Amino acid sequence: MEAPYMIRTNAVMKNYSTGASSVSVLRGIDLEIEQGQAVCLLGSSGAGKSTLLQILGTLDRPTSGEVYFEGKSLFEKTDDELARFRNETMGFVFQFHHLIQELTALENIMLPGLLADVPRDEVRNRAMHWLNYMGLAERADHFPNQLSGGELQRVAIARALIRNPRILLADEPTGNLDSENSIKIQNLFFELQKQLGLTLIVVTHDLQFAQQFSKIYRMKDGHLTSN
Amino acid sequence: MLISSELREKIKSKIQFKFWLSTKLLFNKQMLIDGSAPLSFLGLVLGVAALVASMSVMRGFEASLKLAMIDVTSDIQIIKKGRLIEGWDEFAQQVKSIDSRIVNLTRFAYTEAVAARQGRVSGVLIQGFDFEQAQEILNLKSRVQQGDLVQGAGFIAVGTGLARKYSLRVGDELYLAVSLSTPFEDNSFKRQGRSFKVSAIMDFGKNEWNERLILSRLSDFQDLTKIGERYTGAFVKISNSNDAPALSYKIADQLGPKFVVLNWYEVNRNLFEAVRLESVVIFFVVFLIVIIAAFNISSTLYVLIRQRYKEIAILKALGARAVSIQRLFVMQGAIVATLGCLCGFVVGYVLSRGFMFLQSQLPLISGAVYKIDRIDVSISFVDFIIIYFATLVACLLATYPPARKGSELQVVEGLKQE
Repeated sequence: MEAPYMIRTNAVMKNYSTGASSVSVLRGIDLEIEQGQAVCLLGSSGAGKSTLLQILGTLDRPTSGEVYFEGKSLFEKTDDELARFRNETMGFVFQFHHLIQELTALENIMLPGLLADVPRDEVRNRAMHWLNYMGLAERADHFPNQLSGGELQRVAIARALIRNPRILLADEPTGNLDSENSIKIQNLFFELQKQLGLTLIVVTHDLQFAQQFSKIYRMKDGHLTSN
Repeated sequence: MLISSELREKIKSKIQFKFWLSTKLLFNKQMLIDGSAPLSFLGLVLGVAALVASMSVMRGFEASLKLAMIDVTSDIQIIKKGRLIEGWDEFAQQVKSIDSRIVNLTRFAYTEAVAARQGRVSGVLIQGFDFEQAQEILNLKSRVQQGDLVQGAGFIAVGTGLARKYSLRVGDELYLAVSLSTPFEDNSFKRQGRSFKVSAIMDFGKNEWNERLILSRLSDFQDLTKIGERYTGAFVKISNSNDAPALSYKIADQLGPKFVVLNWYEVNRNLFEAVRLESVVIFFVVFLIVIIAAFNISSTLYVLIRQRYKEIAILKALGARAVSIQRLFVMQGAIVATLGCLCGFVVGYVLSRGFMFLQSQLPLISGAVYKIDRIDVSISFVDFIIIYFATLVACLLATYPPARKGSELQVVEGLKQE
């Protein structure tokens, strides 16, 4: 039963307690994602889609419920094991690129490789490869504050790819871009998904973007309303 | 311990990466402009500088004191217990053959005596030796305040304290008397005395000596005390004063139990041990400044890490383990400590030079007790190492709590920071 699914969740709940009151952000999420699938989490803000993405990306632990990766429960792992898992298996792209301001574009891209103790030269070559791919080779030594919004997001995507991840997770990756850059980035995601056979999980509230995915999960008030 | 070169390479690149990342995160414009970080760093620099300056003055004091003592007491003294030594050349050869580091030696004799002048009488210590030969072993010339040390028979050199007490000037006479045992009556003695002319007034470097010590020619001494050609012991000069303790044991071993062999340290043990104890106490007192500075760094780091929540979260999202984050900030502590020490060493050196300069301009140190009117500041490599490691430990301990707090940050919390 579980075999064909890369990721499967079982009754995932997430509550945030602030003092006496508790807010339920996710109220029992069950979903399945196949290897190589392009999945979209669609919903208005506050629907819980970012929280779900963070849990799928092991950045946060669910209050209850299980997330299985290739049949194994993810959150039985320790934080350190999860960190390693993220580094080896997942690439993240955030709405606000989240590049480190003190590092150049190239250094930002190299970071996940360096954190995994991959030899510096090797990481550097791979990072240059992705910079070239993104058409940013001449921007290698620029700092984030010297790059445009579209460029920043492409650097962030290159950083997500440096470790050859199997899953690419993106949280509103085009939410901060103008329409032209937005379309470029959208196309880039699908291009990468096809070329590299990536599993793509993207959070968006952009209906037009969402329609290009093979699978759309709509979310409202912490529930999946249709799949 | 055998570590494969592959593993060593891996550890090296790990450390290089941490170092690289922590410097990138440590030195940014915002932090430098902010003020609190540079100020707490300045505190550390001043603490280290104070340590360096006080240690170099203490070391310099010890070194100056040592030189001052050796000038008068020589590196090593050999004294025969109970009886006097007869025959010099033979004995000198015997001692010289013990170790090649023995450069030269000269014999001396001493005795308790009574000095009298213009109704004043007090006990003194007369030391007789060959002035000409002693010049190669003792550095008495630099101790002369008035007059000339090398004079003919019948002349003596006295300390400043004694000169003051007896209102002595160069050329004045002083009556010295020694007691000799009487051959036929066990419980009696006879007095033997004569007048000497003061040829020099000396500063021997220690109050005790200035008040009591009188130097005379050995021939005069032998004449006065009726000991013939015999003498008490020898002053020994060796090539390096620091070898004195080891060499003195060797000499004692060779000469046997009839001789007492004292090195400069033993002759002035109380003094040097007091100085050493004092420098340890001063180290810890001044080190408090470094500890206070480390607390400052700790609180600055709390703020810095607070400002770095986003970067911590990014690093964690990208796969950094909590312990890696912790090490990153502890590494910053180590970098701050190292830089603080380097700057502190420079500032401390400048302070020491400033102290030297002030010394040359103002009478900072009264030579009343120890004949040291200037201290040549000096600091040993070992002191630098001790100061560095003490500072490093203080900084690492100070960095640890904020680093730990930073490493415990939840990724999603950090990513919310904008």
